[in-house]
Amino acid sequence: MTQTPPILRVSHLSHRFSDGTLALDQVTLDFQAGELTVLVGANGSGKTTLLRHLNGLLMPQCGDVEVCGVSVQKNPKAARKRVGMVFQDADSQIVGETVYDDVAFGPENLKLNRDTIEHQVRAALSTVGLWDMAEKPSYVLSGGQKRRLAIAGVLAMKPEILLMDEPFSNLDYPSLCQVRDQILALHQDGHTLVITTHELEKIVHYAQRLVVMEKGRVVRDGAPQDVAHALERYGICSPCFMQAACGRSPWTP
Amino acid sequence: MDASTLRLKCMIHAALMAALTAVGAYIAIPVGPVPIVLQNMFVLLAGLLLGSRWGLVSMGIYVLAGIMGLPVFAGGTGGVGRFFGPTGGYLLTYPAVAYLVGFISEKGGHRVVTDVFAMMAGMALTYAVGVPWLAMVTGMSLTKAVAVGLIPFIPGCFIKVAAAAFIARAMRPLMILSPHSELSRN
Amino acid sequence: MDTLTFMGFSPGDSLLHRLDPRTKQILLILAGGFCLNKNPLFLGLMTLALAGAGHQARLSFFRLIKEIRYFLFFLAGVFAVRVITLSDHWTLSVDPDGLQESVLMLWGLVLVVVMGILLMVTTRISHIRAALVWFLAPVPFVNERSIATMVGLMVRFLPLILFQAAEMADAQRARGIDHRKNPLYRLSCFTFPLFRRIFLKTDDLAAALQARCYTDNRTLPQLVFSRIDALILWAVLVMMGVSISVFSHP
Repeated sequence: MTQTPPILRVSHLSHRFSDGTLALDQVTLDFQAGELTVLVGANGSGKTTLLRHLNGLLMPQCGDVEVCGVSVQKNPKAARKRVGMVFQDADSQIVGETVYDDVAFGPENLKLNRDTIEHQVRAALSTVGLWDMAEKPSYVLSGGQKRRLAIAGVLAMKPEILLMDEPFSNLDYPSLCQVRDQILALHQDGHTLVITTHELEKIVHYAQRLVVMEKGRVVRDGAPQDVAHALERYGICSPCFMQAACGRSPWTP
Repeated sequence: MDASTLRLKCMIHAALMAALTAVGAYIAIPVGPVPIVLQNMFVLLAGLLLGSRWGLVSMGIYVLAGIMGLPVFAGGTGGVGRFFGPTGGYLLTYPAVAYLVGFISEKGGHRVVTDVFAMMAGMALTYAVGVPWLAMVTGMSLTKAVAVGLIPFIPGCFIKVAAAAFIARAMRPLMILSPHSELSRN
Repeated sequence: MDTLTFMGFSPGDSLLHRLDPRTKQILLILAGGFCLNKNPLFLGLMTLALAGAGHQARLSFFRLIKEIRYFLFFLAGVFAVRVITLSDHWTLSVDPDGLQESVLMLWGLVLVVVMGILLMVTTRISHIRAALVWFLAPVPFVNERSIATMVGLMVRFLPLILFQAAEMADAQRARGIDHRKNPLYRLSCFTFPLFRRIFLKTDDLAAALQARCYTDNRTLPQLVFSRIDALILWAVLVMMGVSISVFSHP
């Protein structure tokens, strides 16, 4: 394995909700720079809670999260700048009245000057192919465009790490392909990506690593081909092509 | 929840309530001869649900956004003209009404009786300013203004106050910025 | 419910587009207020000026009429109430003194509305927000930056809420809500789910704002008050002065 220190380090992280549910239980994970990791687990397994710890939206009650060697607890703002997060519901993530304003929101919060903001917004919107729409009000976008806008809003802050919560949900086939290609392009650019999904077959082929969570614990962690065969045990639908390879036809009795 | 998160959530509540109030102008429930428009009920709810301070902020930004010329009057109603126009008086009282309703309701400890009283006071304030404004802008007599700008809306007012009292009771548990809010996450 | 027909900003390079948003807002308040003064000369001059500016900004006349049609109906109603009086013998009669005054009043109101629409069509929302911060800065006890943020969020979520309200109304109608006559029931049935749905967004929205490093102290768009702005402001003030001196109201 590589000798470089991990870009993102989670050690013995636990989180208990106020109602007593243990959402995360002694999670320890390291992420290497440039890695594409897919995080799977049934509903309630703690995926989203884990992601929210990685950029300081939730603070560790126990254990620690370090981004580039700096504890999130000590400097949440630095962590949020380095770690961008694309939420599941693009509609609540988009806060700008127009496409341009939304992408500028992050850089404006970082107090960058106008020229830098202009430059970064243009770059981010061009990356996701929405520069033509810059003047449009954000509510006119389609589902796929909204998801790409949400990605652009994060990219404009120039993060090194991108967390994506269910980036494939509620998309039609063409939008799905666009979002997937977007993710692969970001990976090519050297971004570190952590993606949660219920639709494993859409991304697993490109991932270097597959992490399975159950009841707040990491139960499997390894290369996709080593982990994927055991998925159904944890309430996760294994990729269609794997089922087909075993001679089963997915979604039939 | 730390103080800055709490404040941010209050700001979001105020902004959403202002947007709901703007939308309320276009929601009419067709009962009786005069359809019931929900907007002024939403103003009462702003006071009941957000309290005096944030209710004032919420309605304040609605009025301010309108005066500044932002498109907060969707659906073909001619923007800023609404404030200068015959019905401007009603609109301009909204911040004060939300504050008044919130204030009385807080003093009364959110009991139904005081809530209803608070809303009656709020409605009275709206019409006390709105009707003379109507008379002034259009140049009609005060009697006429009362006949067209107050009397047709009285039955609706009572229905709204009653409905708002119900809704406030049902909504309040959700409005408390509760530590349980993380629960909905998977 | 009429969803999402309102005119928003459309990019362009006309005189109105180039004016500072603050100039346009000051003009709107000044000239808008003055329009209600029922001064025919000013109304005439203003109509010409607005027609010219609107034409240059490529605002379609029909689109404009369509946009304000409800307001026009409403004004027609106000006009009728104002002018027609019920005499002692239960016959309707037109009040001739009120007629001229009512026409001037309506003319003024329509102009104010048109000015508002011109402002909306030619000004970026982010610029209006920046202007708001500028106007509120001298006001004590007011945090102008958080107000600007809230105004932005409100404008952002308005179309979304309108859409959800329409969707909910349809869903309820599909299940026969029209058969229920109790207005109290209808009101609660509509409002409660709408409010719940909207306010449940709060947590997500707060997280989304924080994830993008939200702070009150943000970069604002730059506003430039140029010579044209000063010139236009003076021109309107002169127009007002001349109008008052020619047609002085008692």
